[in-house]
Amino acid sequence: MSLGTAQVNNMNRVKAHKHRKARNRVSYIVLPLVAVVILIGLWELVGHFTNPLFLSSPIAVARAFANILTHRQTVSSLLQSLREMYLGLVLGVTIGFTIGIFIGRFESVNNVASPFVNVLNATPLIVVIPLLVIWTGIGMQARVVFTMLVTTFPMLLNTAAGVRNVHKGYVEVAATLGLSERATLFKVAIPAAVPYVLAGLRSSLSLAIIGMVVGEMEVSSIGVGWLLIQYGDGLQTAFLLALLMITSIFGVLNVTALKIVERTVFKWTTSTR
Amino acid sequence: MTTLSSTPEVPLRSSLDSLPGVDSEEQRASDVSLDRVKRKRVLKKNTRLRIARYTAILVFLGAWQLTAVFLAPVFLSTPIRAIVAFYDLMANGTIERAVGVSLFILAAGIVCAGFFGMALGTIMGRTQTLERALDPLVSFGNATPSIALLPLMVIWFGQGKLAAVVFIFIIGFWQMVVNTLAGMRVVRLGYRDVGTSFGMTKWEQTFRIYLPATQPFIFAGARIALAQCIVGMILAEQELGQGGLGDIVNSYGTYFQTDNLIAAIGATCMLALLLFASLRLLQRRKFPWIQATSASSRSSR
Amino acid sequence: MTSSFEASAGLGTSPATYGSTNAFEPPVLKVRGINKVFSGQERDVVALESVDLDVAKGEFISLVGPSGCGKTTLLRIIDGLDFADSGTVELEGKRLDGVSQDMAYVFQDINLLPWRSVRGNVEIGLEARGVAKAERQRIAREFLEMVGLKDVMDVPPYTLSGGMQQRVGVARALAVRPKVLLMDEPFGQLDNFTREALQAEVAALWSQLGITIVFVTHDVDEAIFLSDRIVVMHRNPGQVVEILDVHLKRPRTQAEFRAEPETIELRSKITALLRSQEGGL
Repeated sequence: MSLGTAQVNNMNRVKAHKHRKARNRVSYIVLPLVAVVILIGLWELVGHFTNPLFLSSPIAVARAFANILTHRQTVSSLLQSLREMYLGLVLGVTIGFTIGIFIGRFESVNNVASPFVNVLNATPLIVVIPLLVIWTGIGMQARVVFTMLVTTFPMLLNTAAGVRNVHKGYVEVAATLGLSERATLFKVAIPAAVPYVLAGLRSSLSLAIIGMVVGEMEVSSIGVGWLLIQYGDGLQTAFLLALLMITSIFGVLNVTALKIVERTVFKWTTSTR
Repeated sequence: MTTLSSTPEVPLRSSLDSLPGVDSEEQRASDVSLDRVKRKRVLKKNTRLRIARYTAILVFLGAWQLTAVFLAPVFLSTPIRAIVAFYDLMANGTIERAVGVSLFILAAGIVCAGFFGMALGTIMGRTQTLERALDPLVSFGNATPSIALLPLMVIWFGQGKLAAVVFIFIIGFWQMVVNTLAGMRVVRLGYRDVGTSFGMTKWEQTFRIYLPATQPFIFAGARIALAQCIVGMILAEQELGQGGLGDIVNSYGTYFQTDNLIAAIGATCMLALLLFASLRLLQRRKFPWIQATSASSRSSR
Repeated sequence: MTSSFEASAGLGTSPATYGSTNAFEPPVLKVRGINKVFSGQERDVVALESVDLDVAKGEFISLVGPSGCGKTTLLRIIDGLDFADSGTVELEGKRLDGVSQDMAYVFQDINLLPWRSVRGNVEIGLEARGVAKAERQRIAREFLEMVGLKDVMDVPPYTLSGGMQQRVGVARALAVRPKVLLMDEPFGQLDNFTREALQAEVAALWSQLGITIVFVTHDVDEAIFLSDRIVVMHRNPGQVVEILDVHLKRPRTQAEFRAEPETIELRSKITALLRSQEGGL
């Protein structure tokens, strides 16, 4: 076999490979589109044969969607929800991170704190809401505190695990180089825990939305959760579905934002793990 | 190029007790290879740690009890009042009834979620076309805070137990799909090679290689699903009544019966702890290899 | 399209060897014109380029070469775990398409399934062949006994040492009674003592069962100790450089074979062949 034909064969193979790749990319776009079209078609079909109370048509939902986003009252409700969610999230994540570092770093703190943390973590915190209401009334505080509580624990547990599980070699490097306890914590342990912290943040983010919605369903006269209950009680199915989609979009945006931060700011975490 | 927008939970520690900490000291103390002096020292340290732990719990309870001096009991109640209330509610059967109702709703929802979630996750994981077609939908479904679906469930299924069960089903379902699928995607190449090399059919590979290898992810998903489903259960009961734990918590809150409220919160908490413990026990008994082969369990300090 | 090494390999121009290559019997395994390219982000890697190989019935043949020379890829293609871009593999004159039930593979990272017991791991290949349960259990016991692991049949595999695990791996492959056993650096992860013990065991099993073994390794001494023939490979592109016959008489012992003049000669020859490639990168 001469070298020439081998090269030609080779090129053909490479071409075929590239072709396959391109086809792959198309299937990633086309197949989901087909699935979505089928789903919407089914929805429209079922909608025709059932009472619109049960399932509004896609068009009605789209109209409701636009309606929600253009009316001042609903928009201010959405904004209020976001404000509460991020306030609770920031508080919860900060508290969780700080306590997590102490628990991860000092065995004595872990020893004393772990029974409390474990019990609180296993508790479905939603049952505490009536107690929060007794303490703070049915205002914004109860909801922010609730979101805060809900988002604290994933952050706390993950940070503690991260600080505790720092690769022994890193700590030994720091020790041989004569870094102080404090320097070791800030320059080695905490940076090394970043992948764990990000995992915690991810869970906290998804729980923050749940906290917000639940808090508003239970104690509120404003916000997404309250609107959901209102639409539900009023049997306004189109509005209900539209608002659900808006909530999902919140969720997707949150996760996407975190992913972008992970990929840009903490690029190394994806390469070393 | 995966398009799952929310990364599924990989098996990660979910409680402090599974961290190598006090408990690993105990394990080390029982290690035969340790000489006596060292063992004694470790045991002594253990006792000290345990004393500190129980003292902290006692101090906490004492401080709580003391708040009664300057706070009206309606705000915080006290440990003693809460325990008395708990005893009374147990004696007249309120808590038992509530737990029974709650457990029924929860079990019905979560069993369906586990079965159908694993089924869809497996089918998607083993059929590339379906995986690509449904992946964005699953991501969207998983990113939706399912908790917000409650009002819709009420419209569809009425103000009864059925709405609660379906609601819990949906909450758990997405998590199980996402975790099963994620596990299927990372089945170790070596395990897959074993199936291929021995000439297994696709069907045989699914059940003898893929599904067993995915068990760590399935259990991790089940833990998260359980936590979220318990929240869903309480929320559904608060909104729909039906006499479960969420229902009684709600009514005690509404009528400012703080003693009973705290007793009911305690009962919910114990139920949750018990359910998590059962899941862990199931994993340890029936699937001991998950713990034994996970890299994290081998890490020692 | 006959290359020089093929002549020395298949057509018996090399001197007669001890019970190995037989010029009159057709080869049990016939590999022809295998090409395989892995396309990477920046450039393509030619893992195998027009590789031919004949393996005689009952032969122990080793593939030796630097990492990246495609020896594992070749073995995987023979088993049907990977697909070649072109070329054919024939087993007893029949062209293979996909995985053959007549071959079994021993993996470098062993790949025992942790959710099955030791016995369950040995049974898995038999399950895929539809063997009834009682028969499966009997066969698994027989082969575990053969590798000296009858006592740990019911324990989970991760409780065993590395050497014991690979014994299970060998038993699992042998249990399906393969005509050709493919072994991919099976002892690469073991310590020296364990490795030598297992080498001796495999040599004994080979002569006892009379099967054909294709063995991949980068350990020259291991190849000399075990093989009838050694295939030296080249990397980038992955090609066969030379095929050497080993005439050392059997049974060989670890203590003696190293000092044999033939071993020393083979070792320096193979090492030189491998070293000459280093400039290639």
